[in-house]
Amino acid sequence: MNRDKDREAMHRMLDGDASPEEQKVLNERIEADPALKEEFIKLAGAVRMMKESKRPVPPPFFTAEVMGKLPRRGPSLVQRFRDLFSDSRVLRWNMSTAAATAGMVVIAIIVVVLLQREPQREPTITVKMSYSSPKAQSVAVAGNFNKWSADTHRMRKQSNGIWTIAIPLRAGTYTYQFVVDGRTWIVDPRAGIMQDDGFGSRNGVVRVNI
Amino acid sequence: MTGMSMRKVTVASLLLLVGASIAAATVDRSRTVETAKISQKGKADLYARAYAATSVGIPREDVDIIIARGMKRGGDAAEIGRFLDLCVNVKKQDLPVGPVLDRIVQGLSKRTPMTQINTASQRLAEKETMALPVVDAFLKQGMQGGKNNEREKAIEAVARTFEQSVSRDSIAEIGSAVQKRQGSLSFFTDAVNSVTYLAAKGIPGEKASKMIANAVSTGASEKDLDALVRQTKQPENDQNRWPDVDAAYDGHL
Amino acid sequence: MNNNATAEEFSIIRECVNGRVEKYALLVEKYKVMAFTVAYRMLGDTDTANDMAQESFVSAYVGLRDFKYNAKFSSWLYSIVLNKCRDHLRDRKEAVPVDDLAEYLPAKGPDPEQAASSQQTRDAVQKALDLLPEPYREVIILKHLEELGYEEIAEILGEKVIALKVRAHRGREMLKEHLENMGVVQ
Repeated sequence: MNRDKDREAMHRMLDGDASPEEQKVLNERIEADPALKEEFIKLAGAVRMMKESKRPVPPPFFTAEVMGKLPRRGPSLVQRFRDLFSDSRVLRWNMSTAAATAGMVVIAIIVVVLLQREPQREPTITVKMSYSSPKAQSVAVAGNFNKWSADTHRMRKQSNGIWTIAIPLRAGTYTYQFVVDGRTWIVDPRAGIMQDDGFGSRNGVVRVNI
Repeated sequence: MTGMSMRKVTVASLLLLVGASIAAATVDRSRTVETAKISQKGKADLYARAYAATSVGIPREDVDIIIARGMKRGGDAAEIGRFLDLCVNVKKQDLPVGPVLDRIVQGLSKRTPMTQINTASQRLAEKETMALPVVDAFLKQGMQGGKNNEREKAIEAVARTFEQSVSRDSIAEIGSAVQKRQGSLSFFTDAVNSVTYLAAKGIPGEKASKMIANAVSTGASEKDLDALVRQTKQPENDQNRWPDVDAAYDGHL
Repeated sequence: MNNNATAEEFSIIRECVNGRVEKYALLVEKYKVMAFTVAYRMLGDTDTANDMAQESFVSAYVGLRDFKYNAKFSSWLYSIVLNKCRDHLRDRKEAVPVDDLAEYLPAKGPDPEQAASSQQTRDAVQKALDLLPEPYREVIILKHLEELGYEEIAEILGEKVIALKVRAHRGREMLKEHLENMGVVQ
C-alpha cells in the first residue's frame, strides 16, 4: 500500500473531490490499517476543529466606526461662504452700516476663525453632594454632566451612613438624580432647586457660576 | 457481529464523522448570528440612521449612547431609530438638539418606558418649535445677547415653560419686563428658568410666571430670583404631585 | 448566494456610488463578522484585526467606483482583507518562499507584547494557525473556516486551483501536526 497515495486520497476527500468509488476504496484501506486510520482521524479532526472554531465577534460599534471613517462629500468652500453671508447671526455681529464686499468678507473670515478656535481650558468649582441612607448598598449621582450614567460617579459611604461625593464642574447648569442600589432613581432631598424631568419626576438643579 | 457488518458500522461512523463535521459547522454559523431582538437588517438601518445623525452634527457620543442603551433596554430598531430621527429633525430645523438628546439619554438610563421617552422628547421638540420665534422676536427687538449658545439656552428655557402650560403671553410679559430694564438675553433665560423651578415646587405654571414677571418689573436681580425660588414653599395641597421625594424617605421605590 | 441577493447587493453598491453613502452600512453589517474573523485568524490579535477589518471596508468603499459587477462583493472584500493582513505581517517578518519547501519554517505570530495586550485567550486553533506560513494559513482559513470553493479562492488569491490544493494539503498536515503536539487532537 502506498501511504502517499492514501494520503492524497484523504485530502481529496476532505476537499470534497473524491468520487464515491474513491471514498469506498479509501474507507476500506483505512479500515484495514490502524495507523492510517489514526492519521485520518487526526486529519479530519484538525479540519473539524477549524470548522467548529469560535467566530470572534467584532466590537459593538464596528459599523458605526467604519461609517465614520468613510470619506464624505461636504459643501464646497464657496457654498460655505454663502451660508455665512446669509446667516442672520453674522449680520447681527456686523457693525452698523452695510459694508462693502471686502468688508463683508473680512467679517466672514473673522467669524470662521472664531468658530474654529479651540475652547480655552475652563476653571471648575467642586460641588459637594450628600445623601443619608445607612441601608443602601450603593449610591451614585447621574446627571447631564455624565450622560446620566449610574456608573461613573459613585458616592462614598461615611461611618454615619451618609454618602458623599465631590464633583468638579465647569460653569453651567446641571441637573441630576441619585441612583440607589443601581436601580432606584430619586431626587436629592436636599436639592434647593428642582426641575421637571419630563417623565413625571424631578431632577435636582445645580448652577455653577465662575 | 460479523466482520462485514463491523466494517459497515465503521465505514458508516467514518462517514458520519466527516458528515457531522459539516453539520456542526452549519450549526456553529447560525449560533454566531447575534441573538439580539434586532435583526441584521434592523441593525443596518439603525447604523445608517446613526451615520445620518452624525452627518448633521449630532455628537457621536450621544448617538452611540442612544443605540447602546436602547439595545440594552431591549428596544427594537424602529424604536431606537425614531429617537435618532427626531434628533435629526430637530437639528435640521435649527432648534437646540442638546436638550432633546439629554432627555432621550436620560429616559433610557432611568429605564422609562420607550413610548414615554418618545412622547416626552417629541413634546420638548414641539415646544422648542414654539419657543424659537418668541426668543428671536426679542432678539430682533434689540435684546442683547445671542452669543455662544445663549440663544439655545433661551429657547430651551421657554420650551420648558410651555411644557408647564405657561402661555406665550405670559412669557412675553416676562420678556417685556426684562426689556424695560434693558436686561440681557441671559437674564431673560434666568427669569424664565425660575418659572420652571417654581413649577417644580408645585406652583401652577401661569401663577409662577406672574410671580416672576412681577419680581422682574420690581427690579429683582438674578440673585433675588434665586432667593425667591428657594424660599417659596411647596403648596400644602400639592404634596402628592411629587411622590418621588416621599417615596425616597419611605423606601417604597 | 442566490441571484436575488446578488442583485440586491449590486443595487446597494450602485446607490453608494451615486452618493447614498448611508447605504454602505448595509454591506458593512452583512460582512463585518466575515472580515473580522478572517483578519483575526490571519493575525491572531483582536485589536489589529479590528483595525484591518475596518480599513478594509473603507478601502472597499473608496474602490466601489471601480467595482466590476461580474464578481461578488464578498470575493472582492476577502481579497482586500487578506492584502491588508499580508501587508501588516510583512512588517513583522520576511516573506517565506512556499511551494518549493521541503520542510516548512514556522511563521511568527504576534509578538509577545501584542499577544499580552490583546487580552484575548487565543484558542488552540489560533495557536496552530499562527505557526503556519501565511500562504498556507490563507488557504486553510478560506477553505475550512469560510468554506469557500476552490474556484472562488482562486479568484480571491489570484492563484491557480492546482497550486491552492497543494497548499491546502500541506496546510492541513501542518495543522494536524501542531494540534497533535498541543495534545488537542485525539
